[in-house]
Amino acid sequence: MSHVVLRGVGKRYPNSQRFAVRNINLELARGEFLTLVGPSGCGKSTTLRMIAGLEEITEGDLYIAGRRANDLPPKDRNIAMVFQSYALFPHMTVAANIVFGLKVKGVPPAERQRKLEWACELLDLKGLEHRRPAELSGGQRQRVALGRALVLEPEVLLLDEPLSNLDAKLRLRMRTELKNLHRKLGLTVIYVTHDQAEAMTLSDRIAVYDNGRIVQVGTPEEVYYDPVNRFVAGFIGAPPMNFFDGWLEGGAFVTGGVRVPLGHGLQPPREPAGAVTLGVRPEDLTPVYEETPGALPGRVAFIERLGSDDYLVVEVAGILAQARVPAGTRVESGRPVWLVPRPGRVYWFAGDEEGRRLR
Amino acid sequence: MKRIRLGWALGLAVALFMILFPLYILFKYSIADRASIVTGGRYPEPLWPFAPTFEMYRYLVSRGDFWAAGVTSVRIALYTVALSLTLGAPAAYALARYRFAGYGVLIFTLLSLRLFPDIATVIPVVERFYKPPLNALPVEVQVALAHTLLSLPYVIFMSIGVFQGIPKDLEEQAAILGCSRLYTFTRILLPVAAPGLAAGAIYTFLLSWNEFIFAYYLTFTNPEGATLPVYLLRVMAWTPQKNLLAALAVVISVPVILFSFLVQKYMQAGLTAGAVK
Ligand SMILES: Nc1ncnc2c1ncn2[C@@H]1O[C@H](COP(=O)(O)OP(=O)(O)OP(=O)(O)O)[C@@H](O)[C@H]1O
Ligand SMILES: [Mg+2]
Repeated sequence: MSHVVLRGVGKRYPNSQRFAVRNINLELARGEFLTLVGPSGCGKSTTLRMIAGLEEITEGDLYIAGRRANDLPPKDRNIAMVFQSYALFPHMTVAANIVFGLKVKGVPPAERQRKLEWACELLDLKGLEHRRPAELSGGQRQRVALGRALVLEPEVLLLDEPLSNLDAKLRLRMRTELKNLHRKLGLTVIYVTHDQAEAMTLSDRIAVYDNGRIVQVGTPEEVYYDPVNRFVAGFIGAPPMNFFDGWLEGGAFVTGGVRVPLGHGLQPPREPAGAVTLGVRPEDLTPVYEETPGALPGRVAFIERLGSDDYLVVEVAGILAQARVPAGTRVESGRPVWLVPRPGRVYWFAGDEEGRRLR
Repeated sequence: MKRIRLGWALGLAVALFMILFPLYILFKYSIADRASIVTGGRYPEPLWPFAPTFEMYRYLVSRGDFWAAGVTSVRIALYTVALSLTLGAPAAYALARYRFAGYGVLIFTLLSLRLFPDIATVIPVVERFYKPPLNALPVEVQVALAHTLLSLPYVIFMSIGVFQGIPKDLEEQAAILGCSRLYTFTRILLPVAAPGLAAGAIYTFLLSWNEFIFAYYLTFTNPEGATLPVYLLRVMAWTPQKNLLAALAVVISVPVILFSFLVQKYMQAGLTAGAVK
């Protein structure tokens, strides 16, 4: 049975003319981990806040555990939320923060104590119970915020960029901890993040937002390998997919005045097309240094070194494209190079604004 | 570190002198013996009394009416603080969180009473207190209410900033955790705001403690409500010697310092530290 269902949900803020989000359709299975990604201002937080009951739903229906929840107050939704800011109560100790929700719900002290110990054990907060939030590190605060949410035994856990202000190392650790927690407790989680790696590693499914709408929902593999449009293809993946605008004509792809004969790795879409955008990810382009059919001709601009991988930056028909090369590769700039796409990893998109995927 | 420029140093010295000199004079007189103030022009007044004495202080504390006025003053000031905060804090919270048509007008109206000199507003206000039902209240409460009228606009104004400084996330989190609005206000917002509200409390205490005009008119016919400033006027009416007045003035200042000190300890920095990243 679906645990959380959004049907045609939309939100227009009272002081605004346009909808911040519209026509959101999502179904989460019990225990699923769904991540919302998208550019800033696309409506991820708004969606989360509507599910939490912090924002009124302007149109559409929300169901939690089979019950229509549009008009339920936040406390009756059986949810917990961890804010990006953590929102710890600064005047209370760690222990008081964690059990605050239980106290409000009238859970007896002995039970509260038991839950507190459970949470401190789980989240490695032992010995910090009597500190105040100001005396904690960022990672510890984050875990207190998580603990406060988890002791409520919520059915649905909402997380709005909870790791965004941590340093890279702590972030990686918390990511692993989150994953383990999710497995261990079987929670239904809706997670908002700007971090691609978090989205790819944590999620069962990813919902990609663009400008107040969901453009694709799918497993990390689906959104990565099978994007529905140019936006998703460009948004998911880092460094981003290379795009070449042009058109198909007489067995060739013409981009920026360069004619690339089709064939080998460069297979055209089956559906007929004129103006198109060609998309290939950097890891699917192999540089060779002699003329090759089905390869994009260019000149080496420079090499971007990221440590584990290097990216060869090549000027192709006036735009800069990236191709992944083994670390330590040396090439002098200005050298002619041909980029060979990997067969089956070439994406075509309609050349219009919408950029629909052509198959 | 840069050296302080000479001009600044001079300015600072002058300012310090202007603040400290009257205090010095006041204290000097309050412990002066008779010969040090009544010189009859035969020699200049000494910079420090010939025979410092706490005689005037002793005399003051031996007087029952002085103690009565002191206790009245403290009580009225505390009532005023309590009233101003109980009325002012929720009002400030509402004004901090909700925007509505006429917001600016409302704020201006709140402050408008204080745009007039007290000597002008005292007439309509006191007139109310002379009539039923307010005249049935104990006179201390009447004075405290009048003082609240004076302090409330500022308390609200100061507290709006305090509440605006508290992240909205805290309230939303509380709502998710199951708190009612009232519970959130009393258990989360007030404790978090307390250090900020303390400034308003000090201001109110000082205002009530110093206030003369309203207290004078309200206790005109009802001397048991007389506060220390009113008492000071009564003592002056007998044209006593300078040292008694000075001692009285010093004594009046002590509770102010004491109260500010107590409350200030509460005003530690970083009221929302750790709440949000
Ligand atoms: N209280 C509000 N009143 C009016 N408009 C709002 C309000 N909150 C958000 N919006 C608008 O709604 C849209 C979606 O905002 P939202 O906060 O959901 O974005 P987001 O996807 O969470 O972005 P970010 O990644 O920056 O957090 C934005 O255009 C924003 O300006
Ligand atoms: Mg957001």
